Amino acid sequence: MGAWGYGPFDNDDAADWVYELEQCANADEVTEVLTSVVSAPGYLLAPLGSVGLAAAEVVATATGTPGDALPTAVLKWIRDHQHAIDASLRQLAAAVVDRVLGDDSEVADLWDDEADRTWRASGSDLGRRLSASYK
Amino acid sequence: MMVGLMTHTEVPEGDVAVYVARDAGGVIRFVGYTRNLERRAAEHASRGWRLEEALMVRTDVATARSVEQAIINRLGRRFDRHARDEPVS
Repeated sequence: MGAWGYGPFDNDDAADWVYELEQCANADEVTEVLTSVVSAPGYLLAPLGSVGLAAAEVVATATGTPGDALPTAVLKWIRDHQHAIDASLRQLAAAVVDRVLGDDSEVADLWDDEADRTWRASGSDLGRRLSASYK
Repeated sequence: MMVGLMTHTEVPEGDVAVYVARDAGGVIRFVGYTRNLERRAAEHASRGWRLEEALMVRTDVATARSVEQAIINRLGRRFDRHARDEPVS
C-alpha cells in the first residue's frame, strides 16, 4: 500500500477512488464503498480499507465536521454535491472507521507495523468527528 | 497479465500502473500504483516528484501490489511510506 502521508486521501487507493467519485453525481459511490467495508467478511484488505476511510471523510466533511487538508478535487465534489450526502450516512461512516482501525484490517496492521501512531490518531479523529453532535 | 515499461501517456483506461517517483535530483522517493498515471503524475508534481517511468500491469490491484512490493524489496528498503523515508542516492 503506497502512502505519502497520514490523511485519508494520502495513499494510492484513495487517490484513485477520487477519480471514480468525480464521475458520480450522487451519493451512490460513497454509499457503495461504505457498505462494502462494513459487510466485508474476514480480513479487510488494505485497498478497500483505505477507500473506506476516504469515503467516511467525505461524509464527515459534507455533513459539517470537516477534516484538514482534503484534496481540492474532493472539496470541489463535496461543494457541488453536498446535498447528496445525507447525515444518516454518518453512523455507517463511523462504523467503517471502527472496522478499518480495528482487528482484521490490513491497513491498520501495515501502519501499526511502522510503530508510528500518527495514522491511527488521524483515523481516530475522523471517528470522533463522525460520532460527535453536529448542526 | 501484460507487463512492460511505458510512459504515463500510454496507460489504457482501466489498467493499473506501478510507478516510481523521483525528486528533482533523480532520487527515488516513492513507489506506488494507480489506475490513472497521468493524474497521479500531476498530483506528485505538486510535491516536486516526477514520474519518469512506470511498469504497466494489465491486471488487478492485487497483482499490482505484488509488483510494487517486489520493486520495494529490490530497492532494499521501504519506499511505500514516504512520510517515514529519507531519500537515498
